[in-house]
Amino acid sequence: MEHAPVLLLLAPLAASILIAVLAMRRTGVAYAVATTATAAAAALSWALLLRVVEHGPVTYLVAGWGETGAHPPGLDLNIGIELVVDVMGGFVAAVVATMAAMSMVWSRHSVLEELGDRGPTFYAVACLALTGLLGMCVTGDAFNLFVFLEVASLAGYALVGSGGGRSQLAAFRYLILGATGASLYLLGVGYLYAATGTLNMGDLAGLLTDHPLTPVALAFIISGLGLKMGLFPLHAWMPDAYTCSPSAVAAFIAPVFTKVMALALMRFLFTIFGVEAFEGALPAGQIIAWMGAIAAIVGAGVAAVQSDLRRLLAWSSVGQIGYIGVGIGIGSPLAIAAALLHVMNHSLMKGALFYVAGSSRARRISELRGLSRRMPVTAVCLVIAAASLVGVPPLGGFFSKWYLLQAAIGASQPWLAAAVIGGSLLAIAYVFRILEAALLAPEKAPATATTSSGGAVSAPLPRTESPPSSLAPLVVVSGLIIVTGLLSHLIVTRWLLGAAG
Amino acid sequence: MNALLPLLLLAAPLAGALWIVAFARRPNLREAGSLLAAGVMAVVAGLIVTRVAAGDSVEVVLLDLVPGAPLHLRADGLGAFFAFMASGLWAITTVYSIGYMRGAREHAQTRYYFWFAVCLLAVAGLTLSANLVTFFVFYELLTVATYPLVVHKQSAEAIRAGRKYLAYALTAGLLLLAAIIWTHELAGEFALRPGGILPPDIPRGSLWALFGLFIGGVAVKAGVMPLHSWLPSAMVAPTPVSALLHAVAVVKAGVFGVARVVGWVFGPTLLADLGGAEVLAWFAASTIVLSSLIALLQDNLKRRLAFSTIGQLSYCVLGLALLTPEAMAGGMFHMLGHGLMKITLFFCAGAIYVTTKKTRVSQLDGIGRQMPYTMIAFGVAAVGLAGFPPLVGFTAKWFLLEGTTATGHTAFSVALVLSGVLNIAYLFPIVLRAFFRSSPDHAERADARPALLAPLLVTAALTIVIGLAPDALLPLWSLVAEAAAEVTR
Amino acid sequence: MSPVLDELMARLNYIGYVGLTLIGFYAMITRAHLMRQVVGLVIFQTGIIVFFISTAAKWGGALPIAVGEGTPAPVEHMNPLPHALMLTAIVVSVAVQGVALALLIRLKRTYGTLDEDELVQQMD
Repeated sequence: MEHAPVLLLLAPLAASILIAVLAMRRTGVAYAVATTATAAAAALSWALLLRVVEHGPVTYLVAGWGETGAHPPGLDLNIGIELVVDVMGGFVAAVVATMAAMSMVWSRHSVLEELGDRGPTFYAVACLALTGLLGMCVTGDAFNLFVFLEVASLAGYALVGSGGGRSQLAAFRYLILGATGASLYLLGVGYLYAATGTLNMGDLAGLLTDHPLTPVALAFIISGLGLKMGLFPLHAWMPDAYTCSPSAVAAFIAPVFTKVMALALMRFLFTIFGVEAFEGALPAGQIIAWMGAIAAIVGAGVAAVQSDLRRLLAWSSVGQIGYIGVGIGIGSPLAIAAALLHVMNHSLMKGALFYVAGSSRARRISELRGLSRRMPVTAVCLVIAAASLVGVPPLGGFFSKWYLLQAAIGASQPWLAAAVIGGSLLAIAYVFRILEAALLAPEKAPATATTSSGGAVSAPLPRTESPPSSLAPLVVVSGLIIVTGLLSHLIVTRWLLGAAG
Repeated sequence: MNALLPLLLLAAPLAGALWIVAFARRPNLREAGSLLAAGVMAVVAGLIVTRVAAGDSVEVVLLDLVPGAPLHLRADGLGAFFAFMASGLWAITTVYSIGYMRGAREHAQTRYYFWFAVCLLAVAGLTLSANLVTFFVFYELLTVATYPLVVHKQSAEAIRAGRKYLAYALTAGLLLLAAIIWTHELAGEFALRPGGILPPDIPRGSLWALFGLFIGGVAVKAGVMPLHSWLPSAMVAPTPVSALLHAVAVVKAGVFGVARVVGWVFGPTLLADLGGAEVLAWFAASTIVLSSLIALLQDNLKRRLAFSTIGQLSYCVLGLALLTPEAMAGGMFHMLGHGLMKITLFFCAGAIYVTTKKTRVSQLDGIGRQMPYTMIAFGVAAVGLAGFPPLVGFTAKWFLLEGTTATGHTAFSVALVLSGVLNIAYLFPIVLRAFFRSSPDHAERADARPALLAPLLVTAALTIVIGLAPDALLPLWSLVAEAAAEVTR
Repeated sequence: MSPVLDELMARLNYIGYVGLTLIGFYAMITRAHLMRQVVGLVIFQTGIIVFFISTAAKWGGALPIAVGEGTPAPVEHMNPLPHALMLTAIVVSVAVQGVALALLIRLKRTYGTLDEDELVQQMD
């Protein structure tokens, strides 16, 4: 348990290397290794989270650098790389690791179908991406965060590009924008270093008071991380990356990538810049909140007119990231808790929706037709995830919206509240386009069946429910949407408000 | 026991819903479960009514939903009254449903019974909600659970109607959500208390905005013009749905919401001071007259009834907006009165459809000869709706008129009387057509099947019984009178 | 030398870094040829490396290697940390270029062009 923070990173990293060395030709083995490692990471992250909630943040000095006696006397800054697991990071790490494990389990069928002999590569690279993401959650060092960010991003570009030609172009565009974002972030860190002489987040927070370079650093870091997180208007890479990549990739990336970037942004705004970000020369909070508010409306609005299912989901993500942005931008403890809660809720529901999109093999919304008969269990899960997206109580999505509205109204920002409501209204439109197609649209009778004699009862389509490896994670995630909704009160008061305060 | 009753009231439809899914392939067993759940629910609601009337507190607090607001169920006078009305009529409607769905050979009957039970679960939770968060949760559940019933036919028209319904109802839900959170910001709590929870020192501009949000949230379901247009479209649903949900449960949930907002969130004192109730009353009065005029023009029987519903719902809203104890009690009691009469009328419309496939008023010449009992029940309900004594519609109208004259609103009195006349104008021609014209189509006597006929005769009889003695079965009138008195005290 | 020129010379590195990043950014935004976008990215990242190294530079600073006994005086040395960081950053940027080039090779093989507009046209 002492080494848990670093084991959390080593598990997927080891899996990635193991697959690359031993199992490049055997998809089955690669699948087993990847699921085991991600499940182990998930278990570790939950254990860490529970411990952090109980006993306060856990710090871990990598390789013992910075322990007493390891550096010259008189130098009291941390010079080694420090891993810090606090509630905020631990929570996001737990969500990310859990969803990654679910996506790994789910991917079996889809990888065999779409990626063929490139399956092992997918698992190796996905594990590498998870290493980077978890590293971002637990690192206590601003430059180290850059390294993990690039590890995750590089793996992400490779994953997105693993489909056909379209996916490679999407991956390339994602790469150009993503690398720019990461570089901007690095530049911001450079300014912070120039201002303070340290890269340790904890030390930075103490040293960074009213320095003239702070607004510059803040601006670079917000635009860099905003790009990576897809916060409007820096979202341009997202729709193509989610639409053109293979199903397994979209299902793996969509629920987790942007969430970790949001966490990184929160770290900088709340633990490092603190008041500077909200009352300093650059009103970063207001800017992010309004970017988020516009995202909520534009994202949902554009989603409402898509006919490609995954592009719709991608634009929906743009809007949902906007909600997280609104929460971050308001910056009150309740708003931060709302943003973190939405990180979890959006991760769960977007995961479930991408699983459904993958399992049903529907590219266009109209191809969902007859889903309720062909795949009844999948259809029920679709309804749960979609209802949560709209914010039907008592599902998870409702509660993040609730706390967000409460925070907006509590901060006397009625227009932000109005934007949240407006975004939800538009979300109703696109969600019900999906549901109508999946549940209500009259089915086309299969070619072999004879048509019935004009009655209301049509010939039942054959049941082609997805295999257990695809169904189980979908059912679990849908169940989690309900459970986390019912228990959201506990999650917020016991964990998140503490993290935000 | 008193903590158990609210749970039982919710558990009955929930168990029913699960039973229905479990026995999807065995129709008799499935419908027996539905019937049993409805029966149990009605009995439990009856028990709750007697307990509340005896002054017991019937409540239970479950898990926390958000900080400061647990899932809190508590029966008060109005809640118990509504719970009993909804569950009692569900039991009757279930019998009717069986006759209707089998008679009309509807598809997807399991889905139908399942969502029907979920709707009742939502209504049960709504009636017992002791705070705004609980109220909202069930209000939204009701919206969602009604959708599959509206789109039941899955035709293009049904899907359009479903879209319209959702657009209206979910928008309203979001307004209500904002209003509830804002209320918490202003009042510091989510509770529903007789006389209101809002402190009087809030700026008037905020109060107006808040009132607007609240009424926007609940008036959609109550069908107050200009927010009514989803209701006639929703008539595409199977008739039992129109009968129970679009005449009793869903739309009355809107009226119930108005009552809660007026009496339990703002409180009559604050609202009278603000002038918000006056505006609401004007909307309601205009709705009463306009909808009756539109009803005159409808040839489709169910649409005519739908516009009639819109008008009658505004009777309730008007009563609540007048803020005197008598008028408020009248408005609340009319929830039951209108429920009984309108459900009878819809039952008749459905019975006519199943027996003869006729849906238009102009096709009903001489149908009284073919279906005499059905049309007699129709006549009774029509008379009641126009407000003739001693039927149940009279009670409400009497107290409403008392309220309008007491508050000196002559215009509202005129609207009420005018609407009575219009009621006669749009319902009586149907009765006259049925009995005093003849048509070769309807020469032979062949009334509706017993499963359809029995429920509508029972509800028609109830309009007479409860009209004569409102407290005969259970102390229903006393409950709402007490609730109104408590609010205005 | 004139004071203006002095000022300029003292900040030459920083002017250089701003210039490089702007050139790189401009190339990434305006060029339709994907290879040129990669080149833009490389220039952009090089600019940032120049910036970091500049923060470490010191007139007359010695190599940061501890010689002999006693605690070294930090004031007399170049700051070694930015150099170490930039070694990592260079590795990262090489990796990014590697992935970018790999994607471009695949695109070129499939479509025979790297012009963004032509690619989009061929895909539709």
